[in-house]
Formats: sequence, C-alpha cells, structure tokens
Amino acid sequence: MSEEKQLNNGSQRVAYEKLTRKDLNKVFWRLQIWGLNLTSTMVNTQANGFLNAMTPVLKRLYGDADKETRARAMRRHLLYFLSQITATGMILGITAAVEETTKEDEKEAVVAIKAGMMGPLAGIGDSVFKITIQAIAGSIGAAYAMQGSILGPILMFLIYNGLNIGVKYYGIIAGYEKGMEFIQSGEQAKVMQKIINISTMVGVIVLGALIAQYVKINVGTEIKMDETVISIQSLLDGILPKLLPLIFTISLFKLHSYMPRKYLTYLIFAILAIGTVLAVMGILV
Amino acid sequence: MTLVQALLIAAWAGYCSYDDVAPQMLRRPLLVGPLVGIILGDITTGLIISATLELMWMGLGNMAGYQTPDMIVGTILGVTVSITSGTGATPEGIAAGVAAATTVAILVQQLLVMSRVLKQFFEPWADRLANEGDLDGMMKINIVAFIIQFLLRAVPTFLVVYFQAGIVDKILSAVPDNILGGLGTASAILPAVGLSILMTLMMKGVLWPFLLLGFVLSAYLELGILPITLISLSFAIVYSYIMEIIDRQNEMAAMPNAKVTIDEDEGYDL
Repeated sequence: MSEEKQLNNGSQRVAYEKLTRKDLNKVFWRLQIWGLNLTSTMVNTQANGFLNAMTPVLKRLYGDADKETRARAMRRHLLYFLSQITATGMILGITAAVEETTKEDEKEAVVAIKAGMMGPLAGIGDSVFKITIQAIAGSIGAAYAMQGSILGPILMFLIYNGLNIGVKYYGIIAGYEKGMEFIQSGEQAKVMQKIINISTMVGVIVLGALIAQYVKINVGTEIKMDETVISIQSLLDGILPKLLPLIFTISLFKLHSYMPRKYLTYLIFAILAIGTVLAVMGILV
Repeated sequence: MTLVQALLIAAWAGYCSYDDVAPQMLRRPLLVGPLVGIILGDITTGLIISATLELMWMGLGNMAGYQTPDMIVGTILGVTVSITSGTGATPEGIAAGVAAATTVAILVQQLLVMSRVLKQFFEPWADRLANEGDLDGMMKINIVAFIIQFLLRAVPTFLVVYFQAGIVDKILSAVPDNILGGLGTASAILPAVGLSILMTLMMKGVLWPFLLLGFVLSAYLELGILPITLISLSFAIVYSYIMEIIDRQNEMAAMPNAKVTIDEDEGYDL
C-alpha cells in the first residue's frame, strides 16, 4: 500500500525497494534480544548495540560491497549513540530509510539524523516509558500483589511490555515507511508533545492517589485532659484524611531539589532509623 | 535452603541481570520478586515484599548514566531473607526484607560501576571488527557480554543466598521484638521516598491541582488505582482537547488584522 503511495507522490524514495519487511523484523529481534546496554562502553555508550541492531540492514545494503564501503558503513554506526531503548525503534527505522536512499557521498545525513533524534527521543522515552507507564503499571500491580494476588505482577508485565514491545516494533516499521516525511513535517513534534502531556497528567493524578494509598503515617500519641482522651490522629483525620503522608511526601519532594541523588540511600536509612525510634516511643503506630 | 533452590535463584538473578540491559521486560521488583517466592515455596510473602519494594523504588531508574542501587539483587535478597528467616509477610518480615534489600542493593551498585570498566574492552574489539568490515562479528561480542552480565549477578547472589542465609536468621533473633515492630512501622513510610523521587521528575507548576485531585479521589472516595487511572485518562484527554481549542483561539485572536485584510481583498476582487 505504502509502495503505491510513494510512487504516486513521485517521491525519490520507494519503500521496500532494497530492504524487505523481513530485514526490519530482524532489526526488531536484535533490538529486543540484545538491546543497547548489554555491550555499552563508557566512550561510545550504546553505539555497539546500535550497530548490532542495524546489522541486518547493513548486510542487505552492503553485503556485496567492497570491504572499504562495508567498513565505512560499520564505523558510521559505531559513533557515539545514547538514547532510550523503546524509543530507539523509531530511530532505527528512520536510519534504515536514510541508509537505503542516500548515495555514498551523502552518508553524513545518516549520522546527522541519528544525532538529531537520539536526544529528543530519549527524553520522550524516559518520560513516557521509564517514568509514567512503568510507575502506573507498577502501582496497579502492587495494589493486587499487596493482597497476595498473583494477578499483580501478571497485570504489570502485560501492561508494561504490551506498550514497550509494541512501540519498539511499530517504531521501526513506521519509522522506515514514513521515513523522511516523518521528521521533516512539524506535525510529529506536536503529536509527541500531546502524548507526553497526557501521560504526565495521568501520571500525576495517579501519583496523588498513591500517596494517599501507600504512605502510612499514623500518630499514636493521645492527649489526656482530666477525663477525656483526645487522639491526635483523629484530630488530623478530621482536617483531612491522610494529611501527614501528603505533607511528608511533599516535603521529601522539596528536599530532593537540595539533596544530590547519591545521598538517597542515607535518606532511606535515616527514615527507617527515625521512624523506628518514634515507633518504639509510641509516637507512631 | 537446598542447593537446587540456591542455584535456581542464582540463575534467575543472572537472567534478570541480562534482562535489565537488553530486553528490559522485567527489571522491576514486582516482576523479579514473585518467582523467588515460588522457588522458596511462599508465593504470598514473595508478592507482598516485592510490592513493598516496588513502591519504595518507584521513581528510581537508570537515567543519564547514573547507576542506581541495584533493585534486582536487592529484591531477590529481600524476598529470600523474609521467607527463610521464617517471619514471612509480618511487619517484622517486611522490615527485615527491606533492610536486607537496601543494603545489598548498594553493595551491588558498586559492583556494577566496576563492571563498566570491564566492559570497556568491547570498544577496541568493535572497532577492529568495523575496520575489517566483519558484519557477523558483532554477535560474538554479544555472547561474551551476555556471559559477563549473567555471572555479574548470578555469582554474588548464589554466594550470599546459599552460605549466609543462616547469619541473617541469627541477627534477627538477636534484635528485640519492639525494635523489629518499629522497623515495620517505619518501613510503611518508605513508599514516600519512591513517590517523591517520581514527583521530582513529573511535577511542574500547573500540575499541582492534578496531584490534589488524585489524592482526594483516593483519600476521600477511597477508589482503587485502576478506576483512578481510567478517570484521570479521560480527564487528561478532555483537558488536552480544551487546551488545543484555546491555543487555536489564541492564534486566531493574535492575527485579527490578517483575517480582515483577506476578507477585504476578496471583497475588492469581487
């Protein structure tokens, strides 16, 4: 279908002219099985993994070429690459399209497109997959698992991986088929921004719910005035249920902006220690 | 614990270690922990400890080169300690599991930083392959990398799980009961850490009302996470449509003259 469309448009590019759907499937499996971080180094970071995923494409395009061309193609994909794995599917698809259409002396376009896309797509991938979807799937799963239901991890696995793997695969196919027109039109950026906005909003609403549901701080202290006993916790509940968890979580959030991430572990231990002391004294229950 | 159980847990740790850098299908405490529970014959405890750790480490992920405390070995050890010490899913058991998980996670974090140095030799190797134009050679690097990555977590996990489980037991019995109970109460506060990290990644000025909305839906209306997710999804979509309409109106309002001129032009043409 897309072949005809491309031909009718008189576009310079014809989808699936040299590369086949099979090659793209191989790219997907390489990305899925070997990923990008398995062979990552400190200098080129994920470039080894990127070259590995691109290999089926390079084999098809340069398999018969002379050694020097082949070496140049490989070195091109060993240049610094750092992005997010799920989002890299689309980069691979577009890179394959550009590799197929450019002439040997235009190959700097391949490098430029990779470099231009890895940053923004890493941002999208991190915020949508690593933060939002992972957190939502995790909290849905944790809710079931807390009650001892095996449904928890299963649901989390299906939600997270359905999206994770689906986006990887369709990224490669759509990236290749839509190829250049994808990046050149401004439309794409708008759609992506919309996806980020919606998922951030959902994420934040769920976050608010999680604070109420999972952070447990209850005051055990009671004030005795003559005959009446007033429980501080019931006073607090009268103002707003779960008020302390909300205040505590927001204060931690404020603290994070002053505190480097590497002290996080000390923070966890400090909360454990102070919490234990308060609980032994009976202030917290 | 039998040798077979220890080997199975070590193999699972090795597989999760590979999964963490390549397919990235598991990598979270809730997906890693339950199988350890199954191996040790106590699935319920496995689920509850994993869920606790999942919430505690919720906002934590490897971002921009920062190596986080290792959730995988941490979770596996946390579940193992809770189950083998016989405390199970009681507050004491959860506390012991969380304490073990956090400690081990930091130790393994150091190990992972060192492993990056080891992996550095892939670079000259890949360069050599590229210069020879050897397209099939990359697979060899993958396989060597897989073995390194597998052993990286499988070996330490086996050593700790098989030889040290008894030590944890002795430590636990030496600690007074009310302190263990206090630890349980304190570890119920810990999800706040994971959630607050998540906030640093997501919160921008306009989003505070949304946080409050979610909080109220849960605190007052006591809805579950799934209905809240669905409510918020429809809410977010409607909101984004409204924003789009406002944007379009603003665009139109920004150029009233342009519109008038076009009309006038047309008028003159007619």
